[in-house]
This record gives sequence, C-alpha cells and structure tokens, in this order.
Amino acid sequence: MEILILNLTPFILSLLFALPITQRIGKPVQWGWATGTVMTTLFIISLTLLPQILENGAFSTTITWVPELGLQFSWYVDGLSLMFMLIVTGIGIAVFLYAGYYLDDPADLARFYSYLSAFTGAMLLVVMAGNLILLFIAWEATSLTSFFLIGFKGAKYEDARIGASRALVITAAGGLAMFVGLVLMGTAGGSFEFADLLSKDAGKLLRDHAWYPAMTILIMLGCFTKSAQFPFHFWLPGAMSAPSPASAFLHSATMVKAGVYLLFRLYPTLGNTPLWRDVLLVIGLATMTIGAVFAIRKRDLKGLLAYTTISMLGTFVALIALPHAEGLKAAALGIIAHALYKGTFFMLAGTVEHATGTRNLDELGGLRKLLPIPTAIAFTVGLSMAGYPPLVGFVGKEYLLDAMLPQTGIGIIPIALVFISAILNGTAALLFAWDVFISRPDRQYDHFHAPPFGMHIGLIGLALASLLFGVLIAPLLDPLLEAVLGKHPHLHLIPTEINAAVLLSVLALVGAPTFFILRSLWMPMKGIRLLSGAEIYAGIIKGVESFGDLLLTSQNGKLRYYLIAILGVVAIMMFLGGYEVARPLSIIFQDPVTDILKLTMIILAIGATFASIIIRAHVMAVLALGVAGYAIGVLFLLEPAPDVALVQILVETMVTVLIILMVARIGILQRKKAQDLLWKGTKKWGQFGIIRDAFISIVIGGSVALFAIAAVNDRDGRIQQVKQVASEELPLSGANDILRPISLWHLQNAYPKTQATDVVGAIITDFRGTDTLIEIMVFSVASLGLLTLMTLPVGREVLFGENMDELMKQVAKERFPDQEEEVINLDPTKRSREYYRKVTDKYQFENLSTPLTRTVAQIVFPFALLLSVAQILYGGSAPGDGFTAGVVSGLAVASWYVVFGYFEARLRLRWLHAGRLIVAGLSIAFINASLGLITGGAFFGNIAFDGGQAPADLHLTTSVVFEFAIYLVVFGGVVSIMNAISHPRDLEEWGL
Amino acid sequence: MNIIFAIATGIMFGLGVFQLLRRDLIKMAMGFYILFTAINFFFLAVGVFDGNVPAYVAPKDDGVSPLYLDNGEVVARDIGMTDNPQPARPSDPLVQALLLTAIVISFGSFALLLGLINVASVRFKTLDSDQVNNLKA
Repeated sequence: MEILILNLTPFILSLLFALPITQRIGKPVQWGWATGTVMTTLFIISLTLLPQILENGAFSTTITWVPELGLQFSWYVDGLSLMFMLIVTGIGIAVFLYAGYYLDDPADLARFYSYLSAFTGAMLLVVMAGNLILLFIAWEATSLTSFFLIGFKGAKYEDARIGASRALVITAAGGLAMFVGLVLMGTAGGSFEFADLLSKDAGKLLRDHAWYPAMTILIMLGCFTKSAQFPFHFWLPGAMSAPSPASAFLHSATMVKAGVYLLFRLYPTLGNTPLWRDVLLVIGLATMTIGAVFAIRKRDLKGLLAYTTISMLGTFVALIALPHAEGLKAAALGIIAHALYKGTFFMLAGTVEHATGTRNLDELGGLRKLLPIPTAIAFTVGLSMAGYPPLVGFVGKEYLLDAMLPQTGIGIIPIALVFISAILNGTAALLFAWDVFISRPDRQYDHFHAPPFGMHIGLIGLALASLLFGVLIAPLLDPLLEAVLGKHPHLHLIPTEINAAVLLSVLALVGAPTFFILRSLWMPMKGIRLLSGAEIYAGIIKGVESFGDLLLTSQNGKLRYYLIAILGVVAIMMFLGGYEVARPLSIIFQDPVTDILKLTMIILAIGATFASIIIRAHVMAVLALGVAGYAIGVLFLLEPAPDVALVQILVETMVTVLIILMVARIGILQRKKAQDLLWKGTKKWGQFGIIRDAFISIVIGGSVALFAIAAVNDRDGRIQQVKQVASEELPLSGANDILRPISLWHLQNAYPKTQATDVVGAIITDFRGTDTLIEIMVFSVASLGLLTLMTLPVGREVLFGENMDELMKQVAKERFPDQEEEVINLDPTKRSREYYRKVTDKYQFENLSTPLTRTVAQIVFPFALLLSVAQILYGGSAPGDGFTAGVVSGLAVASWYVVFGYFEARLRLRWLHAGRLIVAGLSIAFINASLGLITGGAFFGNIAFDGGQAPADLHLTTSVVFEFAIYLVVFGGVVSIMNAISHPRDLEEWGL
Repeated sequence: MNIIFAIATGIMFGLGVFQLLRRDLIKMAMGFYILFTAINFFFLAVGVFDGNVPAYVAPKDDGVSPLYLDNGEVVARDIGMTDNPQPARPSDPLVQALLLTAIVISFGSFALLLGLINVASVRFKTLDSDQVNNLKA
C-alpha cells in the first residue's frame, strides 16, 4: 500500500499539473507549498518503512503484468532503496517549495511541476523496482524527463536544446547498452527479479558465468553515462541550462546518482571481482580528478557546481570499486552528505541569479549585505562540502580517506588522488561562498531585486540538516545506514583514534584554504587544452549527418533504380538461400496425358507473357497478358484445384476489363509517347539499358527458380520424413501418402467440424476464417482507396446521388430546351427510358452500345445474381464461394458500365451503393464470427443453424453466412472499382 | 513435373522484372501483374501438385466420391483406368486456400496501382517514369 502511494502520487501530481483546469486554481506560491506538503507526506511514509526493514530485511511486492512474457510489476525495497527514497522525497520537499518562488510565470511553473513530478515518480520507481525490466523502463523515464527539464527554455535558447538532446542521446544510448547487460544478467541468472538475483547463490553463479565480463561492462556503461563518468561526463555541464531547481534535484542530488545506485545495488551480485575493482577504480578516480581540476577553473557558478558533482560521483564509483565492501559505508554516507550540500548550492546559485541576473563569478561579489540569509546558508553547506566539523561532510570525508588507504591492496595512487580532489573540492566550495558573498564588498548591482523569504525556507532546512546530521550523526544516521549495510555502522563525529585518515583529513582542512588564498597565483595559469568530450560528441553527430548526406546523394528519384536495388538485394538473398539447399533435379512424371496438357499450358503462359513484353500497343499487350492468365487458370483446373481455377479465370477477366478501361482513360498522346519509349535507348546509355535490364531480370529469375527448386525439393524431403515417421502407425495410401500432417488434418476434419465437403471452402470460411476476414478488409480498403484516388484529388466533383440529379437537370436544359419544365420537374425515377438514352448516349462506347449488347447485358445481370446465390449456398460442397460469387456479380455490373456508359449505368443502378455493400458485408462477417463466442465456442466457431436437417449439400451454418458476407464485400469492392475507373475525368467530358 | 513448375516460376519472375523496369508506367503495372502470376506459379509448384482428384471429402462412403471419411480417417478409392488403377490423391487444400485469397488480393492491389498510374498521368502529364521525378523531396 505504501509502495503504491509512493509510486503513483507523483504521476498523479504530474497529470494534474498538465491539465489546464488545475492551472487556474491557486497561485504559484501556493502550488509550491502544496507540492512541498505532498513531498513531505511521501517522505514520512518512506520513513515509516524504516523499522519494518530493520526488523525483517528487504520486502518485495508483485503485481502480475504480462505473465506470458514473464513480466510483472515487482518492487524490491531494502535499506538502500529506502536511503534513496528518503533523499528523493527529502530534497524534493525543498526543491518543490523553492520552485514555487523561483518561477514567476504560472504557465511555466505548471509545466515545470508536471515534468518534475513525473521525474520524481520515475526516480522513485528506479530505486524501488524489483524487476530488471521495470528498472530499465523507469531508468529511461528519468532520462526522458531530464531531457524535458534541460530543454525547458529550449524555445528561447539554443544552448538548452543542444544540452538537452546531448544528455538524452548519451544517457539513452548508455541505457540501451545497460538493457542488453540486464537481459544477459537475467538470462544467465535465471530470473529478472532482484529478490532472486541478490542471493548468494545467484551471485556466485553470475560471477562464474562466461557472460560475466560482457554483462558487467554493459551495465557499467549504463551507469557511467547516467552518472556522468569520464569519458561521458560532458553532458552534465551542458545540462546546466535547466532551471536551477531542476539542476539541484536531477543533476546533483538524485538522477545522476542512479548509476551509483545500480552499482551499489549489484555489488553483492557482480561486485568484489578483479574486473569490477579495476574498471570502477580507474574510471571513478579519473572522473573524480578531472571533475575537481575543471571545477576550480570554471567561472560560471553552475558549471563549477556541475564539475564538483562529477568529481563526487567519480568518488562514489571508486568507493564502490573497493573489494570486500570496504567502501560502501563511506559511499552511503557521502551520498547523503552530498545530496544535502550540493542540492542546496545549486538552489543558491539560482537565488543569486534570480537576484542579480548573473551567475558569472567575475561579475559577482559582496552580496553579504544584500543577501544575508543566503550568505549564512552558503557558509554552512560550504563548510560541509569542504569537510569541516561539525558538519556531516566532515564525517563523510574522513570515512572516504579511511576507505581509500592502501591497506586494501590498491596502492598509494588512489589515496593521493582523493587527497588532491578533497583539497580542490574544498577550494571550489570556498570560491562559491567567499567570492560571491564576501570579497569585493563594494560591488554595485543595477537590477538587484531581493528574493522573497519563502525562497530560503527549503534551503535553511537543508543547511540545518547538514549541521544536525553532523552533530547528532550516531542517533540520526545509524539506523538508516544499518538498514543499508546490514550491519551496525558505528558512526561518530569525533574520531576515536588518531590514524592516517584523521591526519590526512586535518591536512585537507588546512590545505583547502591555503590553496584558495593562493588563487591569484594559479588562477591566471593557462590550462592544458584537451580535446573535450563535447567536441568529440559534436564530431560524431556531424559524422552521422554527413554520412546521411552521402546516402542521400544515391537517391536520384527515378523509380526504376529503387526497384532494381530492392529486387537485386532480394535476388542475392534468395540466390544464397537457394544455392545452399538446391539439390540435383528429379523430374517425376505421374500421368502422361495431364502432364502434356500442363506442359502446353505452361509454354502458353510463358509465351503469352513474353508477347506482352515485346508488343508495343498497350491494348494488345493486355490481351496477351489475359491469355497467360487463362492458361494458368487451366493449369489450376488440371491440378486439379477447381475452386482456384474458377477464381483465377473470373479475376483474369475482371483484370483485363479493368486494364482496358483504365488505359482508355489516359490520353492517346501520352500513351503514344510511352509506347514509343519501349525499345528506344536513352541518350546517356543507348541500348545498354535493355541489356542491363535483361541481365538483372535473368539474375533475379534465376535466383527465384533456384529458390523454387529448393522449396520443391525441401517439400519432397519433408514428405519422406513424414512417411518415415508415420509408417509405423498409419496405413499409407492415397491422401496419407503425399500430404503434410496439417493438410491431412484439414481433410479429416472439414466435414465433421464444418459440414463442408469442399475442403478448400472449409479452410477459407472456417479453419482460416480470420485470415479471410482480414483479406476482405484489405480488399475493401484497396477498392475504396481507388475510388478516393480517382475521384477526389484532381479536383473533381463526385457524381453520385443528389448532385447527379442536379447535373442531369443541367444537361436536360441544354439538350431539351422545349421540354424544360416537364423534364426538370419530373421525378427522376419516373423519367422515360427514351429520355435516359437521349441524355446519355453521348457518353457510351459507340460500337459497344448496340441493341443486342444492351439486351444481353440486361439479361445477364439477374442470372449473374442468381448464379452468385447458388455459389454462396453450395460453396461448401462445390467449386465457387463468396469470392467467385462477388466477382460474377461484379462482372455483370462491369458489363453494364461498358455497355450503357457510366451515366446511364449509375442511373439504372442507383440502389447499388458500393460503400454500403462493403459496410454491410464487414458487419455481417464480424457479427457472424462473434456468434461463436456467444454460444461458448471460439471466434469463428462453427454453428449449424439447421441442426443438419437441410437437404444434402446445403447446410446452413455460420460458414454460409460468412460466404454471404464475403460476397457482399467483394461485390461492393468490384462496384467501387468500376465506379472509380469509369467515372468521367472532368466536367468537360460531360459537355458542361 | 513440379520441377518444371519451379523453373517456370523463375522464367515468369524474370519476365515480370524485365517488364517492371520499363519506363512506360502501364507496362510497369503489367510487370507487377506478371509478378503476381509468377508467385501463383510458385505456390502451384511447391504446394498444389501431384494430385489427381479435387480436395473434396465425402462424409461417408457413397460409392462415388474418390475420398471419404471412415471413422475419422480419410480413405482413398482407387481411380483411373481399370487396368491401371491408382489411389486417389488430392492436391494440398491448404495451399489452394492461400492461393485463392492471394488472387483476390492481387486483383485489389492491382486496381489500386492502376489508379495511381492514372493519377500520375493526370498530374505529371506523362507516362514516362523517368519524368515522374518529383518524388524526391
């Protein structure tokens, strides 16, 4: 329950602030207090978990999410999680309150709170996630919200946009690397749950696993990018274009510590190995030193703070590197201390900028009198940062130095680097506190305006916490660290004995002010100019862009080259695939008579296709293509596959009609020009183009042939296998001999399950009914799409229904001026046939519209409908089904369009509305398919309506209804296509 | 025989590709249709072959149907000439069903393709695909 509250509240808050209505309630400052209160509540709820964890250890909760994929929402909350939860909610109190005073514009603030709350939720989820996948999702969510916050002022400043995208690219790329690592870890460990992975056995298993180096390095990559470790550190200074409260929250106290958190979390599982120690120690110490050296040279306040943050993050990573968990206590304490003082410092930088309009150290100074409270806060947290007693930073630094002493076998270099970084960090703290508030006391500010007191409240709280946690360290932090480390930490402010660490600590206390006072000596020194990470990143991005430009030059915009490229690649792949499996040919002739017929048909099909290529005239080529199609239809019939043959022959007819109508729509001049292109070479290539195309065709055709042969041979082999397997049990004859088990199953079950003797029909309407449903949807979309394509985009009016009558009236006015009254006022349905003929004869194919053809068309139409009905009803036991029925009816309509012309055909068939047919068909199909669900079966479950009592071969089942639905859709689709292609091109064609 | 079908698939496909690479858009559309046909050939080659009766299974032995059900098993009657009887073999019904839908879909998509060519010819005033080069942004 507490877990759900903790996780959901921030997201709800985020949604609330995203709503325009919420933004009207209250004032910004009130929002600050309200959100601060929410954060306080969350903080207290987190705190109540502490006794529970101390007593029982970690606890986890699980909610099933996608059980099929093994995914579940699970939470794993132990001391470490709790420490981070307390930091997030605790610093959150101050940040949310501060933001209410910092941002003045309500719209800005609402947006800011929305992002910030979402981030809070994501960050809490990161530290509470009990599942690796959930952790990854939350992890990327923090990257995303961070992107929005860095780019908060992106509309105005380019820096913000660059910084935001850079941070996102780097952290998200690292996150992806980490994802691979997490998947490796989950697979190797046999579980994606922390509860399992953190056990001793799982740790041993994973550390000895062959994948250990890969998963560890990948996970580390995610942590290094997130926690701004060298060489990925450069995104963090760029992230300083975020508003100061966001910087304080995300880029110092919480989000950048996610990497540290994960390393800390996985220490029991992956840690304490040479690889772990070496990588983390080198990267951590390098980051720590580089951050500290860069920090003191920065003149921008937030830049200075960003680099000290990088330095401290490096320190934590180095501490986690230490073997035998020696550094974990110092790391935990350091994380708490750092969150308290660095978060405060970032908000102080915000206050200073808010008051003076600048954050440049060179333009600041002497603010002691103008900003007395911030001065006090700065010195309190500054002393903590520099490690002075009695603040918590002092204890942190002492434990840090103690852990880094050479006794753990890491040599003298780490302690030397840590000591130097400690002095430099102390110097940076003094630079901030002293140079902003004390030195140059006479500096004047032109646009100074004093910050409201409320702005300081959160900061005072944090500064007091830094002090209290130092003075009362044992009672306040002992229980928490005990929960984190699993043993009593024995924290103390005053060292109990004088050892090397204490001496070094005192030395650093003296060293930092000394180095600070001598700043006039080292400040003017020129730093060594190194190629910075940001420049390398910019170079990479530029490289990607120029590579994209290079790729773009290969785009010449000519359709054929794209086709060549696509088909060529496919051909190569098919060649390679076919080459491997193709085996010597085995030509088996079964039945000489049909085989000779088949061979003839194949030769006819290929010959006709070849003719369609070399014939120049379009219409002739189309007819040749039609011949090829019919030859294939006959082939199907010989196979024998009567259902397919019927569809093939009908569709072929349809297609031939379609192409001829379509070709006729295109102007003769254009067609003539295109036809002349056929064997003409280009200027540049000459006749080479033909040879090139022929070569490509031969290569592709050869690959396909090879592939087909491989497939055929493979099937032969498969059949042999099936035979061998089945030979024990099945008597082999006929069907069982040549069919794969799935096809045999269809033969066996077609009648018992669907009352259809036609197995193909049963598969279409029942066994694979969903396929067919999708298929008729595709068909209807294609046909309606064609209608849209042909009627709308060229600026034509759609001439159906009402506006068609209008048009008729105009035609009548022109052509029958004497009968105007009579014609116009007549009900359209009562007009005489003669009238229609006179109006419409102009738009008919002269030589097709004879009395004979008109009579034939009229007679054919009802018979076609009758034939369709018969095919639907007997689809289960004879060739023909909804498809063929639809095409038959469609052909009849097509003949009307050809014979009567568009105008008259539309007038006579005004009841025939393609869209309605399709909608009705699809609705019936869906309702029919769902009936199975209602009666307790499955989607597309078969129901016999007549209880098997109907005459033989005529069974009323859901299959028949589905056939009817298919019929409606196909019929509607064909009508829609006919409408589209015979629709007049423009109104001029109508004589208007 | 099915090997011959496989080779025919390759020849049809090659012819289709050649036709597809013409500059004339109408010829190009025909190329697409030849490719559809080639793919039907392919199905024929690898799936529907070696049968001698249609895939119709009678519910029980009626003395006529070449294939009938007997206790859930498909039984094949001997067919053909009396001196050379062969057991009835249906072609694979599953592949036929796939072919059936493929033919109808290729019809729909071909119609759409023709529509596109029509629109292109109205908009660009040409059927030469090399002159329709405004596709490049």
